[in-house]
Amino acid sequence: MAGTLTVRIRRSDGSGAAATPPGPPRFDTFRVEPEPKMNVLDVVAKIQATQDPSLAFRYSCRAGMCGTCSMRVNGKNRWTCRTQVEKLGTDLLVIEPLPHYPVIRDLAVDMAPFVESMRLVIPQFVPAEPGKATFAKIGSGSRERREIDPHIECITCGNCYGECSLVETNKAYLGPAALNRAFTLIADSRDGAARARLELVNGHDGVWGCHTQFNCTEVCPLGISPTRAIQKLKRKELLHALTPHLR
Amino acid sequence: MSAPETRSAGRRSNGLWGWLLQRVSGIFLAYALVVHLWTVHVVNVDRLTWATISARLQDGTLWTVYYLLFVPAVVYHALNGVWGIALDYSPAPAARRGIALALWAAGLALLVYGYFGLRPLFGAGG
Repeated sequence: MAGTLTVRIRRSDGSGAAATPPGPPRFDTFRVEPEPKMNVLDVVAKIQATQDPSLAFRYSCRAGMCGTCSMRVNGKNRWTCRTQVEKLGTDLLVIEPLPHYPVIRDLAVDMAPFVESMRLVIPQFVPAEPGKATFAKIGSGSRERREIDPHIECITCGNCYGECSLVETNKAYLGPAALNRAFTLIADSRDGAARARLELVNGHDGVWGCHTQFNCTEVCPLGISPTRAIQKLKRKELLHALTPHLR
Repeated sequence: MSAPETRSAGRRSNGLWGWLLQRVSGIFLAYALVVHLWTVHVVNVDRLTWATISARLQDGTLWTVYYLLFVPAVVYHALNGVWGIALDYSPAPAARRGIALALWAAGLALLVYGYFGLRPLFGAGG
């Protein structure tokens, strides 16, 4: 790491009402001495601990498992606990809250739109045979398993929702993560709600709204491609329309 | 702040067939445009006249089918694309109906205009 970091952080009370700090969104600039292997979350935490205790942000696990520390760093949504400063290759950090979410304050956003999108696609597994004591196993080498596996590890960090240009213009659009989740369940032969989900995501606010721009894929910290899941959903919608009697 | 209760699980009008036809027309146009440009600007430079084109349209071969599909495919592909862009901005129901009506009217007008433009070439009126 070359020298002192210049950190510009977008500040906001989120509501415009009197709060700390008051007034419309603005950028505050801080200087931080870098440390070896320092990540962006460390930088923000250090600023709060040593320079401005009023700085609001959110994190939980600090180990890349929960995704709650996601922020927009130098123009790209990232999980900050796993984003090493030295790998950004610059001494200037511009840190903003995730786009497309209501800002609670500073870097902390309200995840309600994301959670609501998830809820709308029936994100929980619904057993096709509820009375059965055990689930059928899907072999690790099976085509079904190979189709689902690349999409299963979502940690619901919300980076994709914040990067999606369709969400930007259409707040009713379900967004990449919810559609990705729907795909993993629709593709699962043990799930009993596939038809219901296919109906739920069949619209311009669902799969047909996606323009395959891959913005979501670009920012997913787990390397998941929601875009690909949505394309697969489109094919499943077509098959479902042509052969509605099949699952 | 988003109000979850204002969103519903019911998706607005299904876009499956529009999506499919957009791709079908797009694939056709990818072929048809190349044929059109090649025919007009490469192999028939300075040789195309009203008479040759009219004769080609009336010879009953695939050229007739080609031109009769070309115009509707272009009109559908273009206007359906505009419709998709409009939906991206989540218009209110009344605006949505207005946009749909305007696009249908534009499409029909273009087809009628195209039909009357082609009639003389097919030897009708003109």
